Amino acid sequence: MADVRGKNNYKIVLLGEGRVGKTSLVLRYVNNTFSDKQQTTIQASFLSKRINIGENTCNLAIWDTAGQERFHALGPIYYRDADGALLVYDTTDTESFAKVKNWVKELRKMVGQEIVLCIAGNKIDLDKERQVEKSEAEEYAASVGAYHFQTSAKLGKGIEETFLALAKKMIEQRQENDSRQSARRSGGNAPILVVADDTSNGGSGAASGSKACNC
Amino acid sequence: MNALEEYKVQRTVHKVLFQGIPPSLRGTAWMVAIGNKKGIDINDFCTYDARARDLHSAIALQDKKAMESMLLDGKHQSAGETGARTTENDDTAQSQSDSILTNFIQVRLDLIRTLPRLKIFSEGGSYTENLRRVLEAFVLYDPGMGYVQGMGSIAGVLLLHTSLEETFVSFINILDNQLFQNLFHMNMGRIHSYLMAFKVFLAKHLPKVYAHISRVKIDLKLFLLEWWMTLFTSFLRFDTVCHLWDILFFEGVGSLVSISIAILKSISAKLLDADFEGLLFILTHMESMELDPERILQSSREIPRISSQDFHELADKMFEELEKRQHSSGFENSAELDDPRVIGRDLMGRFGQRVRVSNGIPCQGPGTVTQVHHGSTAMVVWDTGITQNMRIGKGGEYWLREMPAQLDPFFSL
Repeated sequence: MADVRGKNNYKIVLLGEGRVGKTSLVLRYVNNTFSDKQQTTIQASFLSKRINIGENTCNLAIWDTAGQERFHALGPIYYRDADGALLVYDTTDTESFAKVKNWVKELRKMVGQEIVLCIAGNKIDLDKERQVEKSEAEEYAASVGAYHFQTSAKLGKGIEETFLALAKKMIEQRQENDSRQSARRSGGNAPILVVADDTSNGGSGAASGSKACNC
Repeated sequence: MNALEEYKVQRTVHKVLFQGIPPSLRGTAWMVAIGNKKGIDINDFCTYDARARDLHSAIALQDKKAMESMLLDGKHQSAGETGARTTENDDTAQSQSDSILTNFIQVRLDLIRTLPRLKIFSEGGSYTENLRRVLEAFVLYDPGMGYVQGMGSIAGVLLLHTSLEETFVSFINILDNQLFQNLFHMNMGRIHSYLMAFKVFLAKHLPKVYAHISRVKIDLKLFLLEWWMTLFTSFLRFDTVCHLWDILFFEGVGSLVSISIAILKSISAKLLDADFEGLLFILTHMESMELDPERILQSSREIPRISSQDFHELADKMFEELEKRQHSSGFENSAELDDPRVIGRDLMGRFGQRVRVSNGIPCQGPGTVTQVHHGSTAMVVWDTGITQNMRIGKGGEYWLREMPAQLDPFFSL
């Protein structure tokens, strides 16, 4: 049985306005490919990548979502039980940066503090057309406790770093949660309570989680 | 026409559909099949197209007033006449005008990302320009729905077969049914009921794949919306798409179901072999699956025709069920277990567990536990496609019992 929330599985969701380069970022990261004419993402698509961090191998389950506002109704399906979110904007488009801020608000409200946030300013190869200053974005990211990276899917810049930082932080976050939970458990009559306590870790995998939100 | 003749005609239509309409006749045939229930005049396109053009010049001149008056034009007439214009109305109108502009921007962004493998909708190409005009005219025709990603590829394929004006008429009429209205409006409740109805057909015609997908807990929402909202254009070869559309337009929305099942069937070996992540990858990357058009067409031939009426009726029934469950005393929030450890031992962590009802609630037959909510309830998808939130047990008494393997039709597959 597939358990996406297994020990070394981490779920990442990519969010951001249409055509900022979410799909291109993922494809560059996972397959090291790039196309100028990437088909519009309808709904969302799934990719996974195995990476080594120190001694650990972990599996990143990555959901690349559609950018158009209308598809936000589906948002919770993808971010509900995500360990991390990569919020992408286009450095040549101020509007797309404003959308990132909306996503941060929504995620903090709906998912809380536990989800690791990382903001990526993509298309730095188009530096001449830049509208969003790096310092401004960095300042904002710091203020909401998110990482910030500048990327170019076209040139393959900054992407490894982005995902690596995200992965490291997700691992750290999970370890923290685990130790907090075991602290709560210790002294109790453990084995049974462990299972009963474990709803959030049990089976709310990417897809099954979505079944609960047929709102 | 007597029954025999009628039968013969039907047989012929059927045969033609399965051989595929000759490409030279396709545009005309589609127009006939799609029809024009909405009564769109062939000249209507020009009206909306002209309005879009005016809007663009106002945008270019940054003439905000002109833009607004154009966008609000016609929408306020009834309110204006009765003098009942309120701030609330103004706000709605304002947000609608904003959304029209946002739609226009999105249309532009998506143009060259439409059907990229065809290499027809390229920067500055004439087809690209026409696609933009059709989509923008549609946004003005139905601002409530507006442009939704996915529409471009439908309009795009139409444009390759019919004129601009005809494409506009056909496009509006294709979207003129409950399923597409709900899909493109993203009415999640309704969409859910369609997916539940789909499940019933899937379980019937492709039981192994259905069982596997349910057991691994893949939510159909994760891929079917894209398949349907693009009418399969996002991953199938152009000629296959056209051939399937022949069937779709003549037989109606019900054939979306049979075609989807046929597509799943054509790759069933791969699907049955895949685990959770593998399935998610396959189903959201169908374009890389080397689909065999012949097999898809062959499979769609083998599945008995599913009428649109049956599909809609079943979905409606599912929707009523859903509503009823939501309004009934609310299992989801009320039940607290006397002893949560019971759950922990028995069902927690056993998602995909096959179960049946042991007492109480009207039984839907065997089903699969898809999720155990914190403490007290579980979500069960019955094999009939109904999803139910159920209390699992109280005071040690179970509502759901594990089902003995030999009674479970899917267990031994």
